[in-house]
Amino acid sequence: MTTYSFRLYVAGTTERSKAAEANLRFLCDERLAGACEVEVVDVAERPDLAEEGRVLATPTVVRLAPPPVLRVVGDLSDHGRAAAALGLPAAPGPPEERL
Amino acid sequence: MRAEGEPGTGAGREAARRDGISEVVVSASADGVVAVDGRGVIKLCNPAAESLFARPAGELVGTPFGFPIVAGASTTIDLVLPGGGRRVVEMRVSATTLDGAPLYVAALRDVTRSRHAEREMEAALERQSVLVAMAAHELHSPLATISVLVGVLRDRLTALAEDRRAEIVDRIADRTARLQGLVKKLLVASRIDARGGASASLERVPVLALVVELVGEQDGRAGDVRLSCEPGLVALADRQEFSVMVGNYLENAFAYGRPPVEVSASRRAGWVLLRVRDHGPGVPGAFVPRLFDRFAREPGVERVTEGTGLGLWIVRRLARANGGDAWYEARDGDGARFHLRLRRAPGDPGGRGPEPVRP
Repeated sequence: MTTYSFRLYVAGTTERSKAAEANLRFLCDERLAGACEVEVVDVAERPDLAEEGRVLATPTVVRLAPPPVLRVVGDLSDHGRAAAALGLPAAPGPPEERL
Repeated sequence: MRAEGEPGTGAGREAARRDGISEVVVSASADGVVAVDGRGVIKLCNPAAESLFARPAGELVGTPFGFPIVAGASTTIDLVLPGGGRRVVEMRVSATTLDGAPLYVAALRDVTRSRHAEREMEAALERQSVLVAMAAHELHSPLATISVLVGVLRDRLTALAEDRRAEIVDRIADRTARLQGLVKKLLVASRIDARGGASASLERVPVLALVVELVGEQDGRAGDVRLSCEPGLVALADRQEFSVMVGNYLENAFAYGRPPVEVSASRRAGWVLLRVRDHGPGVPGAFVPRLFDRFAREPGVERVTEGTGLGLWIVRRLARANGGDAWYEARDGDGARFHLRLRRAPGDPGGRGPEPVRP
């Protein structure tokens, strides 16, 4: 199974930062059954990494692997569109359909 | 709007055409706008976006912003500024197409600034509505009195004795004067509100001449004023506002204190210091901290004047707008002492001791 790798850029520990991380981890569990790595970069602590990654806004999530590199801006609370923009597999059906 | 492409070339004409489209997209928008393609790479941006990101268009266009996703109407994001700063903006996204390819237009609004502006606006509205309510309240009573007195005059013109008629006319004149004073204060207060903290237009104002002029306007009460002023004292202030400040102090002294009222002006290092002292009971200690507040009125004081609670507030606000200050000096049982400090005009010669002056 392909392992996805994401880097999430946030700014400090604001509600926005926490929401973005929670949403990303939710998507990982739901769409990838946890087969993903999430690295969180706080641009307040690591401005050099923000510059290196050419990050213009936070929260930004970058899909590093598998290619292509994809980048999404926002807190990812719209799971459907976030998943589509990050090229994640379709969501499994409701639990009862899986039985 | 800036876009990729060089002018004069095919790409440049293409860019110009896209500029036309994007002008429509961002029509009259004060928001920062970046338009990104399906991969989230910036294709276009407007000057407001350049200033929001603190980066020139040349640096923004072609850079991956990210595919913007908004849940609901808008979402809040932080812009990462060069040098490590951040700016909180509200992002709205709309989708369109450019040459058949999807284009996502992210409108970014500086939330910090707009929230600040909102609060300012709310505070201004609050002040205005309080002012209007107070104006209506304060104007109502003297107007009602005038109305009754005029009614008496009209109905019993023939029946009233000469002296009784004269008395009624005097009362009408008195109420009218009070109303004029009140309206003047309300106008000054609303002007102060409107201009915020901006400073006044400063000029050289000879202190003694101005004070004498004001004392002259005190009608029958001028004899109750004792003046002293160092010779040649010149303040640097807005003349009209200086006049309002001293006038309000005098009015306050006559309304709440007892004559004689002493007005003294002296030189301090770089300053003109003006003191207005009456021989009344002074201000109760508990009320002193609120004395210069807007609409502050000492509880229990009889409403012998229009007593808007605006007079001293106006003095302090104007004093500060002129680079000076106004304050109260508490001294038990020694009357009320109000101070006003204004900048001394440059070139004002150094003074000798205070000289008593008769108005």
